[in-house]
Amino acid sequence: MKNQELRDILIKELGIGELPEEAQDEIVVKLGEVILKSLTIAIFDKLSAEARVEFEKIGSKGDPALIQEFLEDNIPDMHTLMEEEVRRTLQNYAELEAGGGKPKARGEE
Amino acid sequence: MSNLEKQLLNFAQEGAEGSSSSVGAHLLSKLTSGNADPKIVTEEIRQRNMRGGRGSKGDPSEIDESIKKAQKEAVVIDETLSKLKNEKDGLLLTIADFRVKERMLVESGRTEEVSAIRKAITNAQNEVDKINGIVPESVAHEDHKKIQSIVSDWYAERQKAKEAGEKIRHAESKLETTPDDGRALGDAIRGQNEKAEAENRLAIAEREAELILNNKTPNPVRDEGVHHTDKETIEEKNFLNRRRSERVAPGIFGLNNENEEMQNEMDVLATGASEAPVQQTSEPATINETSVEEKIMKQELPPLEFTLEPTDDEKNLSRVEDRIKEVATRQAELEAEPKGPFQKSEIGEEIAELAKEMSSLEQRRSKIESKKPLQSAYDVAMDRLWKENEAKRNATLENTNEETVVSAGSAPEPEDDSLLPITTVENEEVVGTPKEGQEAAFEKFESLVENKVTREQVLANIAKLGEMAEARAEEKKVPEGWLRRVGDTWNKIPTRYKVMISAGMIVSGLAVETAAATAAVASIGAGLRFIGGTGLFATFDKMLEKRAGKKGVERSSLTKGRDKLVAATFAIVIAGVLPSMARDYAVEHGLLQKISDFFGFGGAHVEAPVESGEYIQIAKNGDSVWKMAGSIVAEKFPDLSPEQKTYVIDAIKDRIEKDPGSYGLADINKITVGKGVDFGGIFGDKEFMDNALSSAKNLTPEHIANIQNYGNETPARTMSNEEFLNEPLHTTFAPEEVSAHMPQQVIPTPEQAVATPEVPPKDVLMEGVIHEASEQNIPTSFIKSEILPGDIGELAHIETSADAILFTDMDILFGESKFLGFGHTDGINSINWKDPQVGFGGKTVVEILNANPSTIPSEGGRTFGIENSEATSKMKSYLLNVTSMTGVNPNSNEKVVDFIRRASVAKLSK
Repeated sequence: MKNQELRDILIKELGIGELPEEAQDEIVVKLGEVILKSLTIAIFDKLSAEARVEFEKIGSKGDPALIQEFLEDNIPDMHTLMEEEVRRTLQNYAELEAGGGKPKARGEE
Repeated sequence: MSNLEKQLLNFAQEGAEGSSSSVGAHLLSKLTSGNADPKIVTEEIRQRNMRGGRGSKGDPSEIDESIKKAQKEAVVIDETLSKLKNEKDGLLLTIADFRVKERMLVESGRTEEVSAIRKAITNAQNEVDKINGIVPESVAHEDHKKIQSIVSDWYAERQKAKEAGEKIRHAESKLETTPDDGRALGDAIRGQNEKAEAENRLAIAEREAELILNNKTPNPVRDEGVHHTDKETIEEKNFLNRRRSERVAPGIFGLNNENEEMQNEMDVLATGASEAPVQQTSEPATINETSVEEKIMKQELPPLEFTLEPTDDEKNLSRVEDRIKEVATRQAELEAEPKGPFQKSEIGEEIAELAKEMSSLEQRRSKIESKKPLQSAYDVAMDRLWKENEAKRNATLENTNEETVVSAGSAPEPEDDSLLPITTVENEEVVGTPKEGQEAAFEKFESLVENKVTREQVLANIAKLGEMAEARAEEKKVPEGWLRRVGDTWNKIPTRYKVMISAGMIVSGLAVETAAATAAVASIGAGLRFIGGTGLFATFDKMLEKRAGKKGVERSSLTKGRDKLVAATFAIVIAGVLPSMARDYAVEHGLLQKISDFFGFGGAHVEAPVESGEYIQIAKNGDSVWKMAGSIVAEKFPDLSPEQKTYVIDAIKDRIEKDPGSYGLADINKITVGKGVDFGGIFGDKEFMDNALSSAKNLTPEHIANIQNYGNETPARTMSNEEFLNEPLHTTFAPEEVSAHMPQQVIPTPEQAVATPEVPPKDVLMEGVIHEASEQNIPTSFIKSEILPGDIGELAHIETSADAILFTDMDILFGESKFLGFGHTDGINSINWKDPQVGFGGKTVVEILNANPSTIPSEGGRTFGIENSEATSKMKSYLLNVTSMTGVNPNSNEKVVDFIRRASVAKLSK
């Protein structure tokens, strides 16, 4: 199954194949949450002061079309942003797992 | 498992008491010179000092020499005493942890390990006894008390946050019925503030606790015996005090009798030690720098983490208990309410509902609690704490194991052996190394926790990543609550979708190129309906497609998959950050389930929180889907009236009819006797059941009369469940007997059925729409295209297309063009559609189908919308045609706009 294959690749990459499946899922899900939070910070960081105000306003209107336009204008490369945050998280994770060296300093871009 | 614990377990396995290979015993042997009694040795030192002291008859140079030696000796003794104290502290911590472990093993019935661990506790206590015979005791309870106070504060704040949450919920529920209630609004705002403050204080308390517990950094004084300055001595004392304060694992501080008992035992041991007559009474030794190079004798334990976060079960339990309180309050209110003749039935209904809910909540509570009947919420927290600490200890001790070597000749060589009561060890001895034959025992014990430990280690690192993200957010000044809301949103998504999205993101970040990755993530949109994010997902997906289009790039399946992943990720973030965006779009549920099934994720019914087995009905002779579903409805919802039950059963039957294959049926009308039909997916689909039950409970008198009279002219009567299920009424709802142009769920009055114009059951109107749209240069590719279930990439189109269909169809029906086509008014902007009073846009399907406006215009003016006979007739024809073409029936309270969109999505997905 495609989904299983994807999962297997990930489990192998993370080196948690020896753990029970339930624990593997728990780890993957928690890591996903950290990535999303990291992406949230990156999105915010990308916005200018004016754009932040506009973003809040759009939120209060609840119109997906407006948010679409907003992202078009302010986050031109969503893929790169996401991949950067994934890599940042994985890098930090790898450093912590290795136990050597301090992970990238907080807030360091 | 730590080396120390291994060693203690060794003793337990061997039955050997006081083995000289232990750290404590080893230190003792160094201090007490072989078999010499430590008290005698100390007395000898004192006498020797007196002999060489000022005013004695000895030679002055000999006296000076003796003083110097005594000073050196005193330094070594001090150091050794310090180490013993540390060793004792470590032992006490270990005993505390063993106690926790013992309790866990007792609960899980692992008697063999229980007996081993009890022996280990006994041996550890013996070691403590020995040390107490040497080391003077100092009492320091302050930090211990402080931690206790933090624990109490933590619980108090958690209670406050809970109460604030309750206040918010209460206010919000009030605001739902009375949106202008300023007081309720104020309560809601105040509740939010109180909750935020309480949560903030919780975080501070946790941090404070962590700081205290983490403040155990090794220093050279303690570990190497060098640079022994006054300042460091003070630090050393403080350190020892802190260590002593932590002699019991933090989570078990005096919270129950067992812990109090354990604490008492520790205190007794400590008091015994303080009374030991070994305190050196000579002048304080001058602290000199010494060249002692003694390797680490003490096993430095890593800091104990203090994170009493509630587990999922605790959270669930807390939510259930909150709801029980709310229900109980409401029950009390209703009891107290005066019961007028008109309110009686309504109140009675609510009381019955509440009683039912209460019973269900109580069942749920006992189910959660029964997971570990002997474990309270506190025990669960302790269990987790123990695992975390164990993992950290092991991680640290594994690294330091090689260092815990006592080197021969590392202590200072005395000029006169008799003056220095410390023996050197000839051979290297690795402390904690298991003896032959004991490996198996260690492995057996370690295997008990091996997996959990690894899992805990990984999770601990992920938790650190979370902390780093929080710190980064703080630094970037990300608005408060954003990250939390994104986390909450994420947690609403079912696990299998979360795994899929995470896997997709991570694999993407790892730059693993695999078609499977992108193909599998294609169905993630289905999971987003749980956060109301399907609309956002479709929007972003469409946006990314447009971007690719602008660049003139044809998207490969790989790129499409990646786009979907990005769209889903952004949808979750935006839905979390801007909750108002998280509206659930009218995506037809069956469609998503079909897609989900196609990708091998089962369907909504799989993730339903019900035991599916209890909804499996085995077909008997004379059974039908109706009858089988009916027996479950009658059992599960005994309080529904026969008409309400009929409505719910009909909705269930309609759902099965749409996709009989999902229920193991080739045809809804063909059931094999002896074969089971699993209704778990339907009864477990909360959204579906809520809608069906809510609609059933809101049947108008007309609906009820129609149900009663449909195929049975007799007036309503009270029936038993058995009578209800055998009613001939059911057969009138068999699919083959339902008129092709009559919506099944909206049962018209006999008069209306006659008055309703006959509409040919062909796709005439829809074909007309496509033709007209094409004529007017409205893009129609999406309508014409055949969307295969596997082509998930078209999902994004479907919703947009549904909007376009609504727009075009209404334009054909009600659009107006003036002379030569100038000044065209779109149908959805026409007065027939838009008028707030009579426009179809604001009406439900039932209202329109039941409307019978006069064909004679009222005096003095035109009529529009639902008051206009011609427009209403057109609209009715259109709606009936949509039903017959798409097979989608309107729900009783469904707005016409929602119904058209829903039906369009279903049509496009086929």
